[in-house]
Amino acid sequence: MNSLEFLRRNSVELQTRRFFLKKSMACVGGIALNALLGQALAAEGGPMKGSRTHHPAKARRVIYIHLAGAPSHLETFDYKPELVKLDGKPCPDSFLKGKRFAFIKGVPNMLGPQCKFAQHGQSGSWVCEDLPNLARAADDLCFVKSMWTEQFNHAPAQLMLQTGFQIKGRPSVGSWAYYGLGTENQDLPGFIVLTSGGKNPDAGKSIWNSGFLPGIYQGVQCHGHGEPILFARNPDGVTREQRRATIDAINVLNKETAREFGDPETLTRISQYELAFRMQMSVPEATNISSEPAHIHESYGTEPGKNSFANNCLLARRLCERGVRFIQLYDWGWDAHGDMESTSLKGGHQRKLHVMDKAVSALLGDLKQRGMFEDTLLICGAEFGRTPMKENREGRDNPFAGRDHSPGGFTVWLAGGGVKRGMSYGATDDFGYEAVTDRVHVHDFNATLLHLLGFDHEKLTYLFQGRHYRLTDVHGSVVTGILS
Amino acid sequence: MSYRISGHESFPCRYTWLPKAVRGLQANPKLFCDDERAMVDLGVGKNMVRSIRFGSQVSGMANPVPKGGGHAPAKLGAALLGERGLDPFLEDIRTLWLIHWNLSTNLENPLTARVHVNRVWEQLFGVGLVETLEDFGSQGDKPPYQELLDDLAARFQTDMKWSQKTLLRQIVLSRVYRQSSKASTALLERDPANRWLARGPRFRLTSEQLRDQALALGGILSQKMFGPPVMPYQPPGIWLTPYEARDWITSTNEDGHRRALYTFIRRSAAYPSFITFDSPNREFCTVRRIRSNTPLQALDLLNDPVFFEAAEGLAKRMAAEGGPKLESQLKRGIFLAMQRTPRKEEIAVLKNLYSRVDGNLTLVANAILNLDEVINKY
Repeated sequence: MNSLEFLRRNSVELQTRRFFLKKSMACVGGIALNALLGQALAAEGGPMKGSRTHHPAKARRVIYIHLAGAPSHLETFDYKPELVKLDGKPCPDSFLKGKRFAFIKGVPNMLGPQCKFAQHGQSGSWVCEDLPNLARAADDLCFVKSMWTEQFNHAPAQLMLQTGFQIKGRPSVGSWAYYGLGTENQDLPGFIVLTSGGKNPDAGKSIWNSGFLPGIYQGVQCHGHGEPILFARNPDGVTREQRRATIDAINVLNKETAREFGDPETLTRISQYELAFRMQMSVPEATNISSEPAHIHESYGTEPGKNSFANNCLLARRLCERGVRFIQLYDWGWDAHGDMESTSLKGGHQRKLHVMDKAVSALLGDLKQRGMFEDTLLICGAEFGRTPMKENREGRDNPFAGRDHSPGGFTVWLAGGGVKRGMSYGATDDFGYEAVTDRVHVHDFNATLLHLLGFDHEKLTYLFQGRHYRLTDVHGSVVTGILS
Repeated sequence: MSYRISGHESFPCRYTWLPKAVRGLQANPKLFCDDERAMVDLGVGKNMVRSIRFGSQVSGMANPVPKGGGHAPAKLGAALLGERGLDPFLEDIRTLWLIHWNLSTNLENPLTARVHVNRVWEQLFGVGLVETLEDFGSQGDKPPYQELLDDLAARFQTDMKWSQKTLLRQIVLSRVYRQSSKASTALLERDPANRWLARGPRFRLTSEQLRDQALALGGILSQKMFGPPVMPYQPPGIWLTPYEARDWITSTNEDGHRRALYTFIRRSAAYPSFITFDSPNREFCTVRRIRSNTPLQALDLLNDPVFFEAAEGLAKRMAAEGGPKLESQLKRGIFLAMQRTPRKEEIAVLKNLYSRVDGNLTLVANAILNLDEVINKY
């Protein structure tokens, strides 16, 4: 590999290597080895920090909440009084012409908003009654109400949003960010993924994969219960002291190997075993929310030892505090088709809104209280929106109030580092069907996200198969209207 | 006629071009001598004329006639694409295969052989002679020893008659491959990535090799071949896909210890240790893996039940094959894992470990399976 690529791909490793070198000079010793260490340092190209931003970042870290399955924008933030009038009426032809749906067949009926809305705060943002806590925080939020995508099925739409391409294989937004930012904490991975809702998102792990970026940039799935990170727990019957002894022996012998062969990778490996040993402590510590005080659990709605969305919100805050750059939450179960009670807008969907409202607003308040709101970018969104029509699977009205997938217009909100507060940007048409004003494509959204982290989305590239790939492919422009 | 990767000549050859060239040359051998005229005769632009001229020659459909005689259709070209040829409109897929074969086995510029030789070289040395295995074009890397690659590629086609075995033997018996992998400080400084090949290769095994090696050392590698994929142990919850009934059902008996290549692969929820050790996720065609070196790899090799089971197996072998004395058991372990005589200091370190882990030989074997020397090829 050429030296440039070496630098590029090793920036994270090199940091750990430098850390190791500093710590281990004393204990390793030996002239040859010292020279070797010098070489490893030289390869680092001076005191390079992990980050290669293009302009000063407004956000130092990201908490990205993806409500997988896609909640209804029409029952959360996008209030459409005109839709009330059409409730129960057959869908006009113009809405159906040339459209493809996941389930809707023939001519469905329109479905009015299934909850009451009110304006909140000085900004007068519309929020539905099922989100009372977020309503109180409305002046901190920036709603982008004119999102749109081309994909109308979960997996491709999730891939589109998270990797900028509807087919598996591209690096995820978190991997791009981690690749650009490097890590702040040696003892934890820089890009962590937390899942809840009992299932992984439809697109699987491909939406936090590093694609063709080196594997170190992939999202590491982390759990607040059981084994927090895969294989971080020692096998049954192996104590921490015994693990220490094992790693000591490995590293002593590896130092001999490093001395003999002079391979810098061996030195890196020694530091990675030390790091692994520290992670075995730091990860359970970071993910153990039971040490949090009662009022915190009360506000988030957390229950230690469970796998829940609320727990993951609290976990996200703890990981933020420990220097993790990119934390992604995937909560499955938002696919409100209305084919059964659990997917009814007035059933499962509403219950999930209540849980989400409590936990996310607690997280927001918590970040503010800890002085982390200003430089943390909090995002809450999904892969697409829902139709203003009532879903009629197989041509028959669904038993419960539900909506089909709708890629033409949906809402995502952001808060914190670098975005305007109390703002609603863009709009859908009178029925919430298509984004019409200040349309924001997924690529525009991703360009903006990278901008907030200090990157020009056109310059953060990676050469693969003869082409400089980027998150936004050949599209996207920063949505300057929402920048503070 | 030599190949070019860039330039107008190498525009992708279109379907109708080769028959056009062959028939055109049958009518007028000097077809390509006058660009302006050819534009009219062939009904294409100037760059396309050059492209057709180039394409017809590299595919072996036409040859230049010396001393300004223009070009003439080659025997094969006339037989296939000429007037009353076997496939005058290039409609038969077999014609394409023939043309492709012609294109890829051209001795004067053996691209296929060169790419293949380079890939074999990469398997053995960790880095190809051309580092970008996937790209021999203008954006690919230049090989440090172009002659070496050309020579191997040419001989692979002629003397070696495309024999993998002969090629492998040639390379592994060479002086360059048999060099020591030790790097002096000075050499390391001047050539950190070993592009000069002044030392032997040294690189970490692939995820699949690591698994196979550990199972083999533990004496539990299944020799069973063929058949459907298997589902060796993986932690619960890796597959949690909505709207999908399939589940990971852990294979029993020896199917849990088959070679890595038999493992069931699901792209969206791949086998964890493969991904940790840089296996591609199979979403893009990937011929080159970039090796990383991470703490998650350390955790995997230390604690993944597969590797721990292998350690238990290795410990059993050490006890059974090493005789009653601890020292000889440790020696046996090192010999098995590294295929060399153990050093005194190594035995001392492992003895010390043995006492620190309360006489648990499995943990000693666990340490051996994690050693840099064991997980690297050199």
